[in-house]
Amino acid sequence: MGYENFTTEEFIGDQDFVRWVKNPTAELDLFWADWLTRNPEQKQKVATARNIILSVQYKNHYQPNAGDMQAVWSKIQAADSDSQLASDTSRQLWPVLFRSAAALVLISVAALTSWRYLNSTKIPTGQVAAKLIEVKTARGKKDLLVLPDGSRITLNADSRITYQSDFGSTHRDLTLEGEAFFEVQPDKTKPFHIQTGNLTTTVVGTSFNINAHKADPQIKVAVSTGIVEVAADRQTPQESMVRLRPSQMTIFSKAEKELTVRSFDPDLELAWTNDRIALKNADFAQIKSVLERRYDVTFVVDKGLEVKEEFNATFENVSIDKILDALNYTSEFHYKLVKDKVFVTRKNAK
Amino acid sequence: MNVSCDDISFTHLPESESFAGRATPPSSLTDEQIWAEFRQGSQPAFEHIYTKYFPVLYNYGRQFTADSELVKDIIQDLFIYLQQKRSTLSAVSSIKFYLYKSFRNRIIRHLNRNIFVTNDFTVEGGFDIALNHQNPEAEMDEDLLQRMQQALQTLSARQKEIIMYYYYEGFNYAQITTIMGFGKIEYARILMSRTILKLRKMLGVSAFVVELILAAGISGSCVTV
Repeated sequence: MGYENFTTEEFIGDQDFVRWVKNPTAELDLFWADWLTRNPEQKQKVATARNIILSVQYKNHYQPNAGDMQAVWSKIQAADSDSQLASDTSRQLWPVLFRSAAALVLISVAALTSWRYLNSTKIPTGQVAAKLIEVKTARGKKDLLVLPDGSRITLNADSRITYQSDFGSTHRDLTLEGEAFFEVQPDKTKPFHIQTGNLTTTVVGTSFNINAHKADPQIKVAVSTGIVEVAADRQTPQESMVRLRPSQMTIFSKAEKELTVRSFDPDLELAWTNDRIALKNADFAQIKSVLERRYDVTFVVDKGLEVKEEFNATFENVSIDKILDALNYTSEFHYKLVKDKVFVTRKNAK
Repeated sequence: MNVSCDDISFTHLPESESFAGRATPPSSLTDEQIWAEFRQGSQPAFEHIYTKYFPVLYNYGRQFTADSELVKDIIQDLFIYLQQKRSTLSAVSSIKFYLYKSFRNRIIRHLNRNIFVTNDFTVEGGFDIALNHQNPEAEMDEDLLQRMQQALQTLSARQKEIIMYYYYEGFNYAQITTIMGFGKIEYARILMSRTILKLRKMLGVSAFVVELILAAGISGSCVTV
C-alpha cells in the first residue's frame, strides 16, 4: 500500500486514511493501531495529518434557536395525522392551528418511549384465539395504560377500556365506557377505532379526549392534536360523521342522537389529565358526577330539594373537604361530608 | 465493506437489540438498523433521527442562505416527506448522507440557482472554513495556521463546500458526487485535487516545508486509537 513512505500531505489526501479519521470503526482502529506499531517512524506524520483533518470546522456554525426544533417537530406531527385522513392538505393553515398542541405532542412522545418498553408484550398472531382484555378504574382512581402498539391511554376514574388480546396485530379496535385521554401511535395501515355506544371515533395518530359515561346525557370527543373522525352508527336516525381538527370538540346528544361541533377550552375539557377540576357554567348534575367519580363519594340531596345553581370553579390537587368548603362559601345550599357521602341541605335548615 | 442498497435485507431485530421503547438507541445500532426500524414504522426511531439531525441540517442549510425560516421550512418538508413515505423509502447505509442529499436538492430548488453554471449559490460566508485544532496539546505554528486560513478564504464556494464534505462531514467521493450532483465520481476527485493544488500554491511553500512546520508544532502529541 506504500503508507510507509507517505508524507503528511499524502495521508491527508488518502481516502482510506480520511475515512478512518472521520468515520472510525473497530476494524479500522485495529488496522491502524497494528500498522503504527509496525511503522513507528510514521507516527508523527499520522498524528499531524489527523490533527489537521480534525481541525477543519465550519467558520460560521449556526445553532437553531431554542424552541425551533420543537415548533418544527409539532408541525411534522400535525401534518402526519392530517395527511392520513384528509388528502387535501393545505399546509398554510398548520402554523396557526397547531401551535398550542406542540408541547403536548412532544411530551406524549417522550413519555411513550419510556413506557412502551415496559409494556411491550409481543402476542403471536394467529396462534391463540384472541381473548378480551379489560382495564377498569375505580372511582377516585386514574390509570395510565400503554397498548401493544405503543398508544397511550390515560383512563379517568370510574371508566373501562376493553380490547382483544390481538390488538395491534391486525386491528386497533377498542371500546370505552367513561372518560379517557388518548395519545395514539401513528399507523396508517391500522386505523384506531374507539367504540362508545352509538359513536365510533376513528383516528390514525393523534391525541384527544373522550368523555362517554353511560349516565351522562352526552358523549364528548375533544381533539388536542391531529385529525379525528367521529361517526354515529346506523342506529341513529341520520348516520352522520364529523371530522374534527385540533381544539374542536363534538358533542353527541344521546337524546337527540345528533353530533354538533364546536371549539373547546382545553383548560376545561382536559383539566382532569392534569389532576385539575375545572367547571364553567356547570349545573348540579355535572359537578355531582365529576366529584362523585373523582373522590369516590355519593351525593345525597335532601328530599324535595332541587339544586338549581351554576358552578364556576377551578381546583387543583385539593381534597374534597376543601372543595366543599368553597362550595359552602358561595352556594345557597349546604354541603357536608360524612364518611363517603355528601349531604346537600338547605342552608337555613342547618 | 460497500453494500449496495438492494443487497441489504432487513430482518427484524430481536426485542433486546431494538430501540423501540428507548429514548436513545443502543450504540450498537448502525444507521442501517435505525433506518430500517424507522421504515417499519417505529416512532422512536423517527424521533431519534429528527432530534439528531435537526441541528446538523440547520447549520448545513444556513451555509446556503441567511433565511433561517426557509431552512426550517425545508427541514420540515423533508421530514414530512420521510414520514409519509417511510414504508416506500429505500434502505440507506448513512442517514446523514441521505438527508444531506435530499436537503441540498430541496434548498437548491428553492434558491432557484443553476448550480452547474455558477459557483455563486451560497450565502456570504457560507461554507467558510476555520481551522480550530481540537487537540489542545498540539501547538501548531500560528503564523502558518493563519496563512492556511487565508488561503482557504480564496477558494470558490464549491471548493469550500467539497472541503467541508470531505474533511468535516466525512463523506467519501461517491457520496460527494451524489450530493453535489456531479455526473461522474471523477469530477469530485478533480475538484478536490484542484482545490488542494490551489491551496498549496497559495501557501507558497513546498509540501515538505509545511509538513516540517506542522510536525514540529505538534511534537509530543500522539495518535490515540
